[in-house]
Amino acid sequence: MDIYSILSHPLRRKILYILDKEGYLQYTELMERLGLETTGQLNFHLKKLGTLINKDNKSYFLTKEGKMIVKLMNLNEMLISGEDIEYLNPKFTEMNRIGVIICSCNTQVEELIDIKALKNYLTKIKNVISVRIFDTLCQEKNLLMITNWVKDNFINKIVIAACSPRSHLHAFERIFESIDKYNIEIANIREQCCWVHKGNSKQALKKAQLLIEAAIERISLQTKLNLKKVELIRSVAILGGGIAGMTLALNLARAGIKVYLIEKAPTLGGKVARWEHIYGVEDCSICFLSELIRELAKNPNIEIFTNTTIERVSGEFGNFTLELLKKPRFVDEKRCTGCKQCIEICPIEKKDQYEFGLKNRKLIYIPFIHSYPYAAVIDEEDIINCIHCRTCENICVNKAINLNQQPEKLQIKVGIKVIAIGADLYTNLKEYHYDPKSDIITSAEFERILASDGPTSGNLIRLSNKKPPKTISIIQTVCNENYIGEFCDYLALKYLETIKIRCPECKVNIFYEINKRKNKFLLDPMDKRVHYVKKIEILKSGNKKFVITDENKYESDLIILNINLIPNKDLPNLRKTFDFTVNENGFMSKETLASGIYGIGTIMGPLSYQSTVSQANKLAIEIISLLSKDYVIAEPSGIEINEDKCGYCGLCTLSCHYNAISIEENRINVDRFKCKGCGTCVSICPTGAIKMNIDMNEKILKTIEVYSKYPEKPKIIAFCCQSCGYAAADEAGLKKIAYTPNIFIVKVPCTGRVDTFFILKSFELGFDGVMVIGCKPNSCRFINGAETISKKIQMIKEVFGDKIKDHLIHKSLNAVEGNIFAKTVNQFYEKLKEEELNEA
Amino acid sequence: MKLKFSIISLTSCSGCISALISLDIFEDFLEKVDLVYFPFIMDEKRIEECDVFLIEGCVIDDEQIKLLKQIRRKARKVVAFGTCAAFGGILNLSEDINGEPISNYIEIDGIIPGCPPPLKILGNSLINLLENKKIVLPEKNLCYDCPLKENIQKNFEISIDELMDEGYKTEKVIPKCFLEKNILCLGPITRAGCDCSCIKLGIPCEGCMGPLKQDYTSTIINFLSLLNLSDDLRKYKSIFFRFSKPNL
Repeated sequence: MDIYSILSHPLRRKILYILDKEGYLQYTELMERLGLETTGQLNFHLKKLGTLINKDNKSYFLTKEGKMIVKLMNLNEMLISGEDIEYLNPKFTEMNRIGVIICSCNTQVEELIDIKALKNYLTKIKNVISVRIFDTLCQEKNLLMITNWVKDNFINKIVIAACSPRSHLHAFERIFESIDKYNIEIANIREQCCWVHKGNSKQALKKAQLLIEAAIERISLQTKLNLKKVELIRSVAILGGGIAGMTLALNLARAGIKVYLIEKAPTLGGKVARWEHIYGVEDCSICFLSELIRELAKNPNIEIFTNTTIERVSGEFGNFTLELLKKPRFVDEKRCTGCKQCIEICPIEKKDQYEFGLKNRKLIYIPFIHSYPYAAVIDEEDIINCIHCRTCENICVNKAINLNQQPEKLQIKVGIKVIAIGADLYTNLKEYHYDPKSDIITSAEFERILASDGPTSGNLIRLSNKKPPKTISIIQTVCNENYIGEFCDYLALKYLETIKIRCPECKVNIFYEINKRKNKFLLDPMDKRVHYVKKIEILKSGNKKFVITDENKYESDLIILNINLIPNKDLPNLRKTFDFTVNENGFMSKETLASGIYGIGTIMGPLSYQSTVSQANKLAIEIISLLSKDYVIAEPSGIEINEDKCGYCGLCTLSCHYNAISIEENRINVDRFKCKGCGTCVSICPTGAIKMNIDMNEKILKTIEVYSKYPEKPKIIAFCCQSCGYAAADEAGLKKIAYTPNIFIVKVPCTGRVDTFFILKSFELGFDGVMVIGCKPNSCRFINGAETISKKIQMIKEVFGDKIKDHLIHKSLNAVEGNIFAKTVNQFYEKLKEEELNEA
Repeated sequence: MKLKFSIISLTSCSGCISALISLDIFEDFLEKVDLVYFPFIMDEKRIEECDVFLIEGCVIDDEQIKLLKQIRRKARKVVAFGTCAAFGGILNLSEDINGEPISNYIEIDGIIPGCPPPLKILGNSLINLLENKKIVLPEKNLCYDCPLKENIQKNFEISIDELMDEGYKTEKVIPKCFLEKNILCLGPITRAGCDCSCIKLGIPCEGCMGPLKQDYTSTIINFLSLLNLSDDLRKYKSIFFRFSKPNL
């Protein structure tokens, strides 16, 4: 009698449960517990239970088999009841009960493959409990039938032979919600077999068999995973109170998220506050900025810390602790009314950095007219210049001034950190003869000249003689780096407009060094005022200034150096506390950000106002959706390190560009939220201490082994990264471009995952050709995976020379190059075939 | 009852056997076992049934393969004794001869790596064999024991252009990680257990204890693809086949 008919009777199940709980029970006790009155009934069921129970001279007890069945029934109940996440790590996954589903995909599969033969083949494989054929599984029909099939067969792992995981994996995960995500494996028999091998039905059948068998072997090797769950604190720290930080803060606060806005300067506003107006925005910038600041100030969800820096960061995604240091302001923000009496009386002057040094200010000052908080301040570095005459203290009616104020330490807890500290302006202007007094000024200073609250009260005049200029030359993108942003172009467009309005007779020339030009022209190249030249020089002779280009000489009353943005000087320092990397230009690189840390605004490069604001809005949506849940679960695709094998050599940290692995005095740590699961470190680790949770070595090696059973020659194995190579192969399938059936595709998370051993093993097992197909070198989804594998392959070719050279191909494709994929495969196949014929 | 031991040399320098004989516990060992076949010191010519067969040296010809098959039939446990038997050994540095490990031809029950095996490992392995246990080897790499070990820093570029430390000749070795001095040291990919005796003398690790996870050539290609190997060293194939050649 099979196990299912034994378990079909509730009384028999009850007997098993009771015996499992009590251990040993005598016949009469058992009868009492079951509430039975006649012995015949009990005798019948005890007999039916067969090998599941046993009896010594006194009592009944469970056999080994019986205990196992009870365990399975418990597991089944747990799965059905859908208990919380803690139970996502089933305790019995070492037991493999694999169910296989073949989706006939509306006869698409059946047309080519003898599906019955396929089913027969699969039934014989170890651990396979049941094989079922369904039509169009993705349509989510017959759901009840499917769930019952899973339940009745005690299936804990599922292999679905259907379309590519890229097509319907999510639908399948939904259907089999009682089974862990990582216990569902897909054998891609549609895109990578049936749709591309039309007319080769014999080979296609063999290939499909092996594809599914490999999937079954892979899922058998899957062990249970501990999913890491972290409570999310619904608050965000934003570093930097410029336009990017403020826009984001307001968006988040309106969605009900607590926001801490931290600014190093004594006021919010950033660079935009000092600009006259923004191209494409009608209002003057300080006007709309003051509106924005008012909104921020009155929102109860926002806490603003000015004059504050970050000292230390600890914790991980979802739960960071930030230690802040509030620098002394020497004025009580709450008491100060901004009456400016102290400023009038202060005897010491210094250059006003908010006016870029064009004007002087007092030691105690209010940065600008709409600064927030609107209160006087003495910069911490200025206090040594203070002569402590205490006249300000005496004159202040509100007793707001305290020259002995000390720095204050604060601590906040947040779930997410955002860096929006902006960029710096290029300063090395010697070769341009920069000198504001003789009217060679930067764009930043020109902004102040245009601004109505600036040093010239908004009159467009020369600083040297206070007269309006007749000729203005603008030199574009002043910096010695070769990154070009839209930032300077928008400024130049604005200047053309503004000068036309304020000073209509004035002649304007814009000079652009041709090698710094971007592909896209924001400035109309047909405009006579715009000169694209090879070289620009500035000549000063007496009172006159000239801009000398390739052939021409332009006299100019006012020369504006339109300076570009350069990476913030605080960035390298910030890297110590925040985990991010910088790109080759020194800006923050978006790719490498760890989970829970974001960057926006000009920290990422010279962006315009418009791009910054739209970036902030986009990020706000991302963060709001992230914080809409109470907890996050780290993706199970990461790695696990076995410390018993680790020798702390540090090769893994060398290969990880996400900083996910850290070694401290013979302790090794993986940050699961930083780890993106590319597996490059796993292929590097010499001791085998690092193991991937899902794409482990054993699985890949087993897959190679199964595929090597394919009888025809020459055969090819292709290691494809899931985002590009595998997608390209799928694309060839979707387009139904035919290629040889003698190729087998192994999916890896990233080509960096491919160990040299996999390649050598493939050759050893009889593959004639090995392909590695990954992303384009500069667009690797995991930063350096493509680079690592190309180095490995180059070395393999060098070491083995002619033996392997022509049998190993490394190809970079993107996801839509299915035709190139098919072409490459066919060419490679033809070449290997020809070689085989020659040898014979 | 005493365990029956046999020891044989294939193609080798007999260094491992010398190490065995010079072992401090060798006398006790002789007392505890019944040595049935050991041509190095005994006249017995026939291979007989035994419990443990230690094989030293690599395989280079068909005669040896035949012999190995015979040994496998007679012995309950076969142990590859020394790096040559376990991985192929230094013969692989040659371009023409391919010294193969015995595991290419017969199933083995354990290895005792090292060229020759470090006394501690050898002694412990013999004790394990006497107690009828599995041989336990260190699972960590050499860096774990290394006196010169420094944590490799993130973004730390390593270029390699030397095989030997020049300082060794003048006896002025700077105590610093060899990799940082641009000298190739195979410590990271080599099994621990030798107490870093070469490194303590000022010589970078040659990797005689063998790889841990998989074959040597794969491991070293994975390793060197992380570093910037100079063009001269790239051409020097022996780095990649120091103790083994893959069976392609």
